[in-house]
Amino acid sequence: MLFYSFTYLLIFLPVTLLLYFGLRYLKFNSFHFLIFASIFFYSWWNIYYLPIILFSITANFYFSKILQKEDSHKKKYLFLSIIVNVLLLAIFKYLDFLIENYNLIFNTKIEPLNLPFPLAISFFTFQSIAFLINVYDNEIKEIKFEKFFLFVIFFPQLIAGPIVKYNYMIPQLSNKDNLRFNSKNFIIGLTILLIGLFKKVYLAESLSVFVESNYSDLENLNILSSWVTSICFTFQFYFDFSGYVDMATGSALMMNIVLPANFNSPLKATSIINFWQKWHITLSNFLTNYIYMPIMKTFKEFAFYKSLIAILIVFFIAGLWHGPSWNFVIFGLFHGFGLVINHVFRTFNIKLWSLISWFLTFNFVNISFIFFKLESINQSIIILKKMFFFEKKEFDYHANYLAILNNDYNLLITLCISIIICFCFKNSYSLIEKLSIR
Amino acid sequence: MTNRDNLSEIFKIISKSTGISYDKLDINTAMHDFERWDSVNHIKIILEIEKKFKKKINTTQMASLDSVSSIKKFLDN
Repeated sequence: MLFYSFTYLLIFLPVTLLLYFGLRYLKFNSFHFLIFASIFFYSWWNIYYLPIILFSITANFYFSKILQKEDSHKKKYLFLSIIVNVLLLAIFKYLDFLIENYNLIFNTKIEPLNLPFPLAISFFTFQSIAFLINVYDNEIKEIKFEKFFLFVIFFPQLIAGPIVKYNYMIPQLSNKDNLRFNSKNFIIGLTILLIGLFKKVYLAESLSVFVESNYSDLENLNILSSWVTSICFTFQFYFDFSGYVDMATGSALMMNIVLPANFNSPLKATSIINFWQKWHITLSNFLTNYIYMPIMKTFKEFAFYKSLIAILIVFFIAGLWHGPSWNFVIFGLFHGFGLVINHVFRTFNIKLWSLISWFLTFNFVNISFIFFKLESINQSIIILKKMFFFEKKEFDYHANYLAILNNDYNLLITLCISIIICFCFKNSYSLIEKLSIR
Repeated sequence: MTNRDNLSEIFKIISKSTGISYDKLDINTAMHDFERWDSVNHIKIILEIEKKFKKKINTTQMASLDSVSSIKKFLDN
């Protein structure tokens, strides 16, 4: 069920809210109801995915109990639990990618398995790994199956994040006061949901019509249209993702549950370090806290070059996490190298004028998103060539293209609104903070 | 080491690891206050604290020790 579907907005969400606030009068357990609602929400896509998430929840709960009891072999069990999670993800998400590459290298013809790709598996896998590490570190004391179940499957954050922590969510979900209807939270939540809906349905969808039409005809793009298309995709991607997260945040807030911030005006970033502090914040935090820092700790002694190597490893993983394709790996490594250069600049105290920094960052991100959007490296190279190599014969075409752009009022209006929203307005989280929830 | 010594040592470690002037640090300083207290320098701080105070910092704690006060609280306990 998509957040912007009529089924979600007009049936599922109102009914869920009504029962969430109403069932306490019948002394019905809110945890059980939210679990049921979340299972229904998840199964709506495809009920065949349900056993996989149920297996993940059960296995991870079992591992957490072992980690709480064990002392002597605790580390081994932590590794085992992480391996099981990564294997589950690898089997459903990366096995065909591995087979495809194996066939290419060894000239074999192994048939791909075409396994179904369970929805949200990337998110709930990372969330569960973080949970297990927290249990291993004795940061989580009390684990009950129903609480852990809801922590993983809670429908607002299940599909596209934010990636949440157990100790952040469970106190909120357990707080009986949150079962009381709060008009202020409801109104702010509804506002955030509507902002997200506008971003997703109007802005992202309008831009996607233009982007899809141009990217389906790569050969006919020129220097101007390839730049305009790539910039439109950057805005589309931001509105699509942040819009969806806004709808998640708004839905949860209507139930008095505050989800952590995931976007903080990332297109205003003035460096790549700054970008990753503003874009998909909960993923950045996961990568920093659970991959980068443990890698660095294994080195024992700090050295700057070691931290740069760790960044590249982390962003290789981050790229691959986004999807089973070399384009995603390049996307990750591109950002990894950007961060390395950024850290070198920072270490040697090299500073640029902030407008230049913003311009370089925006274009770096814009180029990286080409690898994210297109399916193959070849397609990405075609676009990059079009963007950076000017052909004289294109002069007439540019004039025509500008005329087409000028007549495409819908695109122009959408682009203007996009620019104003991204660069002149504060973001949804500033709005939540400003209106100070609770 | 007294609590006051701890604080002074924390300032020294943060200053040495990040390049932030010692004078600019106080008990309310947090990671997000300074651009230079980034994830690369944060791990430097963590490793230095472990070495100096001979205390093991686990993965979960590494993320939560993101301010002078949280580091001090961790060391005082």
